[in-house]
Amino acid sequence: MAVRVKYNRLPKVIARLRPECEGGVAKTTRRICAIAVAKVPVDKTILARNTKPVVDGLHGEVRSGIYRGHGFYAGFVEFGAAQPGGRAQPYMIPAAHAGERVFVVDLTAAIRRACKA
Amino acid sequence: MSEGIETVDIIDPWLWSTLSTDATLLGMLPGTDKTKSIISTLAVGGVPAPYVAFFCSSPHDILAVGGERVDVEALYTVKAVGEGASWNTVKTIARRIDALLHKKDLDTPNGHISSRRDLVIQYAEVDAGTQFRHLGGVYRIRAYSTP
Repeated sequence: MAVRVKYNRLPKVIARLRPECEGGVAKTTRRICAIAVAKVPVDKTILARNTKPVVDGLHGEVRSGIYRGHGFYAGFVEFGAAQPGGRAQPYMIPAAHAGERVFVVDLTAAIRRACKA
Repeated sequence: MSEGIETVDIIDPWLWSTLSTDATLLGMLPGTDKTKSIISTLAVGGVPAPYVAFFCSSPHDILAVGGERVDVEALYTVKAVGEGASWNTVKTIARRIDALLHKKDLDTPNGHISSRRDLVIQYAEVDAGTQFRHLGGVYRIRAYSTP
């Protein structure tokens, strides 16, 4: 049986796949960051201001309280401190957990857009 | 389909009974009533180090078509907290915790449990000149009730 290729859109799809997926990763990362900021339990101004998305291609991160003096205690808020009153109040893990479902939706949409290129 | 509130009905009791009945783990904790050194979120403070702390970081329902609940997927932080400038004390406790909780699939009196570690938790803090070290993991625990 002979197969004749009448339309070959694969090169176009392949060319669009990476940029679309990068867009999907960026979108999910921003969404996770927005959820995390909304869930910041204490000191909303400093900690929320220092919770930011960082996207590099297909890699996305949300960083919180990374600089000393500007919410460096984010880890203690998330996982708790040893002294009395140091109860954990997670906001990053719930955001990432919610982001797992969002990522599937965003990436599926990105792949669909690439296939329509 | 799963019923009830699986985190308090199934997961919390399983974590508590697993951690508080393991002789090896209890042997690493101080005091005479060693179960007092295993605490959940609400019981913070006043416990001499080293101790074990666990709490639910994020619970999610897994729903089927029609809104029926299949199970609950929860991320639990379980960690050892110790005092000192070395990881040695908390390392042995955290290893024991991991041996008890990672890659477990079992039926409990209240339902089915499956548990895997998602990531390692490791950080140190200084409080009034004293170093505290936290070591453990975030465990992805799925549970559903059995009739």
